Amino acid sequence: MRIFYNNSKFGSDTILLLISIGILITILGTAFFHLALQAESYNFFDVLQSRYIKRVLVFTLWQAALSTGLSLLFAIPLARFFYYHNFPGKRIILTYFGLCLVMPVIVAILGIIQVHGNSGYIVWMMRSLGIETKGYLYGLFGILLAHVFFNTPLAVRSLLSRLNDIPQEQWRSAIQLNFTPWQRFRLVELPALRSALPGLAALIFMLCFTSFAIILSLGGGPKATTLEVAIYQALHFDFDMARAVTLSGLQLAICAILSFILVRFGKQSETEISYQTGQESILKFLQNKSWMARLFGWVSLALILLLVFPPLFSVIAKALYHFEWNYLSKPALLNAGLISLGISLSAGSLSILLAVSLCLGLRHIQNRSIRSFVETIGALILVFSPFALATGLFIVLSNYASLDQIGPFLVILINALMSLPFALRILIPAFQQRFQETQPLCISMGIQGWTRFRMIDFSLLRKPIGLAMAYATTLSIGDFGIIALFGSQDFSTLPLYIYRAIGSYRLHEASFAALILILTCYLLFIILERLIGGPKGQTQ
Amino acid sequence: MSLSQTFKKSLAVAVLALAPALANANDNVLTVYTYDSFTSDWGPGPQVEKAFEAECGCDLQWVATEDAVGLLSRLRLEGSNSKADIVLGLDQNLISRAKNTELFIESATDLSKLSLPNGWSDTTFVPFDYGHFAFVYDSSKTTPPTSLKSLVEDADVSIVIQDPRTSSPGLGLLLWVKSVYGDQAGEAWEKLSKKIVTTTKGWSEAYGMFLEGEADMVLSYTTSPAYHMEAEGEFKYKSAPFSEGHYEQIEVAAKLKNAPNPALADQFLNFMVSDKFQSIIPTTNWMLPVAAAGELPAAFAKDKIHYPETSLSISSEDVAKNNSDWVDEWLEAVSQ
Repeated sequence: MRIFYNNSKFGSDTILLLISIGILITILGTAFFHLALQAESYNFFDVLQSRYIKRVLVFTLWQAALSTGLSLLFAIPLARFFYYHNFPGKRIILTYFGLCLVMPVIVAILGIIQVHGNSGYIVWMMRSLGIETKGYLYGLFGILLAHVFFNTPLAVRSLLSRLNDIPQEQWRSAIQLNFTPWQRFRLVELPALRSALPGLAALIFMLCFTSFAIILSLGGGPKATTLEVAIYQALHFDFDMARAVTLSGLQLAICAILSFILVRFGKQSETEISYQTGQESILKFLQNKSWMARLFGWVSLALILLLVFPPLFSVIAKALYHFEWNYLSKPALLNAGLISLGISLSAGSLSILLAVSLCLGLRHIQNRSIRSFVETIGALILVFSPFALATGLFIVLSNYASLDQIGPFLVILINALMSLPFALRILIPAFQQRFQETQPLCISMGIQGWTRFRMIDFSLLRKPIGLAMAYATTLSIGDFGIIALFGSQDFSTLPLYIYRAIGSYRLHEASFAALILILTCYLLFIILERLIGGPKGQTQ
Repeated sequence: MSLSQTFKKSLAVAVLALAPALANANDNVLTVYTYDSFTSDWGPGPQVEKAFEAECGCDLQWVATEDAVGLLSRLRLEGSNSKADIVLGLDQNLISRAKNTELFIESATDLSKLSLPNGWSDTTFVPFDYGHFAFVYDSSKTTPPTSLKSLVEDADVSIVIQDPRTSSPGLGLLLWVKSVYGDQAGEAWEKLSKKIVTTTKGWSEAYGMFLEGEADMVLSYTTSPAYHMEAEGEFKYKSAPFSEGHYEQIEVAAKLKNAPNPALADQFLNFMVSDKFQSIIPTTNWMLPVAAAGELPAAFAKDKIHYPETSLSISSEDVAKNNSDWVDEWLEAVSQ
């Protein structure tokens, strides 16, 4: 059995890989082991037999499947539309789509309620038109709305980058052979999309399957409960460790099986978050002439724009309209902002440190099973319940220090782990590609270890590393799960601050804090991407 | 800037930001665990802290969890490692469950000054305020039902309530329905669930949604309208009197067995039933004082807010014994 590529051998890169995998497995294993130890008695069967849990499971699967299906249904025509057409505002829309991915959940929820809630703009318009309505947001509809809000932009960008990767030669042949639009779709586009779809569907499914804040705020009650919410309830309110462990295990098993099946369908997914800008040249000739496809494209675009833009506009408009100077003078807001920055930068750095260590070692590995083992661990972190992880780790650490002391570090650690899958999605393919190009040179010149990373890898890979750091950091700044568990009066982040302001019906202040959070988030993204990634176009 | 420099920089920022959260190792400190809204700027927390610190010459530190039920879980999680001296904000329904943890110890507080409508006998858990659950509505928009039965059966209103598994008002409504409907509670919930816009995790989310106009009525307290009158000069919010009576909530505090600072904890419990503390409660926690606290604010007058004639209550032992069955009954009914 061959482990390494021909020209690779066991070296410092491999040691880094082993250390980082060791750290990951130790953390995940310790957390679950100690959680399991706490359980007074095990009745796995009882938990799984409970009618309520069965219903929760069915609902979790159902809403995740619907959300995935709807997101892709919108995303496929949209991606094609963006691929074929140039229109004013295209870049802005695509940039905004990129930002949707890192938009803090709490901000999106605030915006969605302002637009779609029972006293939102749409219900208000319906009532002024004389349509009697009790509102439509809370329940399955609200959940799907929010999931499509987050995942369609992600899917569009990912599919678009695949279309952009279609080699020019294929298009030349397509023109020469005079393909009909349907043939073009089936023979040229579909193969490109098919390589991305299974991985993308698996990612969206897992994100929706483990959804938490959206379900709690828009689900409308116990009818809409996901496994993640049930785990949170078991841990936080019933203190039922056995139940939490059983449900976490169930969640993990289902997601592992589903992602395995989905990924088997297509070839190994490469990257969901593109760091390359596609080439456009000769495609202008190929503008889709079919009016049906065009109409469909415009309608999808209109729908998705109506979905994704108004919530953010509403939050910003409310924040500016009701602005009061005394919001700025509150030390609590400043404090929350600083803690948010500290947490997210630390979590982002830790995440990138782990991701880069994994990638450095992984690129030398040829053996498919080892590769997919590492990649699977990386991806499955997404479906480890952060609450179960945090509680398990807390139980271990509580023998040494108090919750106040450990809290911040657990928040950083769990956030770093939760953004790791996203960082890996960007970095693994990038590292692999550059490895093929630079390995012969490095071997022949004897460059290795830190020197190689500093002189060769970093200068070539700083763009994806910068992007991954930007994503990992901004995903952490928007976290509103773990912080709800460990937050206290002195230890509060911006999302928690917003949540509390909403809770104490200071909604204008909540909108203002949301504006600050969005600005921080986006500025941080741009700064990190440029700072680490280097000026635009330097390496590509 | 190289990668390592960037990393060092971000680490430095992180450490700076975390420093305040880590610096609190002090001997003369009383640590009180409570729910979030108690410690907020407009809640009783800041005033209570100031008044007690002036009296004890110590440092009172609040540690807030999201809600009352979360308090208990957090204590169980920390077990004997907890640095809490006092837990403040459980209610009478949670007492039995709290006692089962064996983390609490009897207080030496003089309970003779208490003037609760139905009296008080528990010596571990000391009451600090009380109130009655009620549905609050906007009288300029909504005509409220006059009984719980009419709310369940025929009223055409939308409501926001709280989850009984996570919130003490939510549990209060569960017990309210139980004490009115008994064995028929399941069917009552099935009917009621059609009127529920959403079930929130905690009181504050539900109340915020109601004020934003997301529902006609919200489960809150008979004293809630007093807040709007006193703090905002707004008179349109009222609580709906129900003919069956209203379920009672008594909020309590207790000393922990492993309290790092037991003497300060005793002092705090005594302070809690004193005039000073009790007079802060009405206009900050918007509940009724449990001991004479001088003149109540004008908005608490008998003609301004509703004082229920019948006060419903189920014993803490019965609640502890049946809690999970009743919650299951509720879950079953509302997730149809």
